[in-house]
Amino acid sequence: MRLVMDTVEEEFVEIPIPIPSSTSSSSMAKRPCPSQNPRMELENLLYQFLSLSDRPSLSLDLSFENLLQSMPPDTDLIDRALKMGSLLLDAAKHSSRKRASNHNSIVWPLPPDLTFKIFSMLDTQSLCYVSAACSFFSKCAKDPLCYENLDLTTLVPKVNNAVVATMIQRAGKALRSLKLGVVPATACSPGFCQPMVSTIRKAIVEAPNFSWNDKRSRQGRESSVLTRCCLSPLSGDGGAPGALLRKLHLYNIERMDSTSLCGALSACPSLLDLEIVGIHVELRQTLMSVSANCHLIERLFFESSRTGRDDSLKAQTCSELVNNCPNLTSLSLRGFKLHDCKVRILVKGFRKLKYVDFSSSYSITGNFLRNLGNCNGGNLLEVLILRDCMHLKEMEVIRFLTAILAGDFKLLMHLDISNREGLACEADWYHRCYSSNNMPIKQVLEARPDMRLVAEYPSEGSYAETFDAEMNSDISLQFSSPTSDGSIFMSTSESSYNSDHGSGNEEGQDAVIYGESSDEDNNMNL
Amino acid sequence: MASSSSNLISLKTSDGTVFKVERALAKTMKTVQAIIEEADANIYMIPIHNVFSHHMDMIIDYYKLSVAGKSKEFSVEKLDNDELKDFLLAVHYLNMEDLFEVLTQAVADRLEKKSVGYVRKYFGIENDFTPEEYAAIRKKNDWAFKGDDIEPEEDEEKQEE
Repeated sequence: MRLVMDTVEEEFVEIPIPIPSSTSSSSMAKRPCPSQNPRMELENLLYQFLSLSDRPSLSLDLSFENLLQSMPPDTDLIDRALKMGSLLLDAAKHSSRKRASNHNSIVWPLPPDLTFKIFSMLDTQSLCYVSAACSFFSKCAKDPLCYENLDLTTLVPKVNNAVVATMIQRAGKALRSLKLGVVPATACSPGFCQPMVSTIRKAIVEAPNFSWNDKRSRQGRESSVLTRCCLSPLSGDGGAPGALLRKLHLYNIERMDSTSLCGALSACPSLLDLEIVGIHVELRQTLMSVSANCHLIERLFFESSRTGRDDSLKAQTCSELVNNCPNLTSLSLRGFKLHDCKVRILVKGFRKLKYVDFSSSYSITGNFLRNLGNCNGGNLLEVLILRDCMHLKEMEVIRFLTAILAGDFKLLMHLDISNREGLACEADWYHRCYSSNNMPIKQVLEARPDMRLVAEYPSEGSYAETFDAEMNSDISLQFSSPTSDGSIFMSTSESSYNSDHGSGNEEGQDAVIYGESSDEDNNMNL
Repeated sequence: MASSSSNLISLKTSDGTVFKVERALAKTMKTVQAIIEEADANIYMIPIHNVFSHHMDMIIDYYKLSVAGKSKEFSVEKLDNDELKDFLLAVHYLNMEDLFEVLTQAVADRLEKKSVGYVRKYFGIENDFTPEEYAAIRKKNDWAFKGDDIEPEEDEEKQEE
C-alpha cells in the first residue's frame, strides 16, 4: 500500500537518534544508560564509531596503522577490518536505498493501479526505460496491464522476434493492441497524408546517428530484424494472446509473407482494426483471410508495398468480404490495382461504411461512383479520398460532383480528389486535364458549406515542376520504390505511362496479361 | 427530489471554498453523482476531500471547453509534475472519465521517450536499485537500451558508486 503524503511514518529507523553530520553542533541527545542488553551495547559502539566522522582531524588510516603496530604480528586485524568495513558499507547502502524508496513514495503519490494506467499509454521502449528508474516503477512495469497496448514500432530495426514474444507473454490476457515494425519519421497519421511505405533502408538513412559503419549497429543488425514468424506467439498457448486482440498494425516488415500474415490473422477472431503498410503480401489472400477469420472488423487500412503492381483482387473476394464482415466502417486500400466493378461491390455492400480511401490506386476511373449515394448504397459515406488515382477520369469526377449538387451523399463531409498529375481525360488516360471551368467545385462548396473539398491540381499548362504547397517531394520519393522499373511519375513529357498501367476496363488493350496471383518476381517489361 | 429551481450543486473543496456548479458538470463527477443519488433529501453542500480550489478552477475550465467542443485546447503544460500528479489524484477521486484520460495521457507524455536519468531527475525520483539489480533490469530489456532515438544516459557512471 502506498503511504499517503501526510501520514508518512518513519518505519525503519529504530534508534531515533540522528547520526551527527559535520554541520550539527554538539547537541547530540544523550543515549539512555547502556543496559546489559548486548544488542544495545553493539548499537552504542556503532554509534560511537560513527560519531568519529565529526572529528576534524580524523585520520582513520593512521590510527589503524598504529593499532596494527601495537599488536602481535599474527593478528588478523586487517581481515577483521576488511570484513567489518564491508558489512558496514553494505548496511549503509541498504538503508540508503530504503531511504530513497521512501522518498520516491512521497514524490510519486500515485497508487499502483494509476501507475499501470499511465504505463499502458507508453510505447514499449519507453516502458522499459521507465522500469529502470526505481524499484516501484520496476514492480509496476511487471503488471500485465502495462502491456495492454504494445507499441513496438521503431524508427530503425531494433525489435526482433524474441522481443515480440517476450512482450506478448508479459501482456498475457491483457493484450488488446499490437503495433509492430519500422515507421519512418516522416510518416504522419494515415488517411489524409502521403503514403507511409518505406523500405528499411530508407528508414535507416533518415534516422539520426545511425551509420552503416557503426560496428555495434552492424553486429546487431541481423539480430534486430523481424522474420516471418514474428507473429507466431499470437497463435501460441492455445491462441490465447491473439484471441482478445483488437488492433493489429504492421509496418514495413520486410520478411513477412502472406502465409505468416494469414496465420496470424487466423488467431485473431476479435480483431477490430487492421493496418498493414509496406508488407509483401497479396491483397486477395489477405482479404480472404480477413473474411474467413475477422468477422468483427471495423477498420481495414491496407497500403501496398509495390504501388500499382498488385492486381490480385477478384470480385468474389469482394463479395465474400462484404458478406462476412458487415461491421466495416472504414476501408482504405492504397496503391493497388482496383477495378471499378470490384470496388463497387465493396462500397455498395458494406452497409455501415463511412470512410473510404483509395488513394494511389491504379485502374479505377470513378465509374463505381455512378448511381450511388441515395438508396443504392454508399449513403452513409462521410469521407471519400481518391487522391492521386492515376486513372481517375475528370468526366467521372464531374458526374460525381453533380450528383452531390443534386442532393446525393448527404453525409459526405470530406472529399479529396487531388492529383499531382491532374485527372485523366475521357478518351485517352495518358492525357491529363484539369480545367476548373468544367468541374463544378465552386458550386459544390457553396451548396455544401459543411463539406471539406480538397482538389489540388497542378496549375494548367505545367506538369511535374509545379507542386502544390501541400504536396512536397517526399511523395515522389516514396512512390518510386527501389524495385520499380523506373520513375513512374517523374515527368509526363516522356512516355512514362505505359500500357501496362492501363485501366484494364478496356477490352484487349493490355499488352501484358496479369495472372490471378501477383508474382513478386514478375519482370515488367515496359 | 431536488428543488427544481436550482440547477446548481454546491461543492466544498478541502480548503473551504464553495463552488456552485451546474448539475451537468456535477454529473461528470461520478463520485459526486453517487452522493447525490444516495441522498433522500436535498443536499445543500457536498464536501469533496482531496480536491482543492485550484483543482476546481481547472475542472471548470475543462468543462467549459468541452461543452464548446474545444476540449483539445485544454492544456496542463503549465503545471509542474507535482501539480499534475495532485490534479490527477483529485480527478481520480472524483471519478471523471474524460478528464482522467487527458491527465493520464499528459503524465505519460512527460515520461515518454526519455532516458532513465532524465525520468529520475524530472520526477525527483532517486535510484534505489543495487548495481546488480539495475544491470539485471537493463539486461532483461536490452533491445530497448540500444538507444539511437532516446537521449543518452547521463548517470551510468554513478551506478558504480
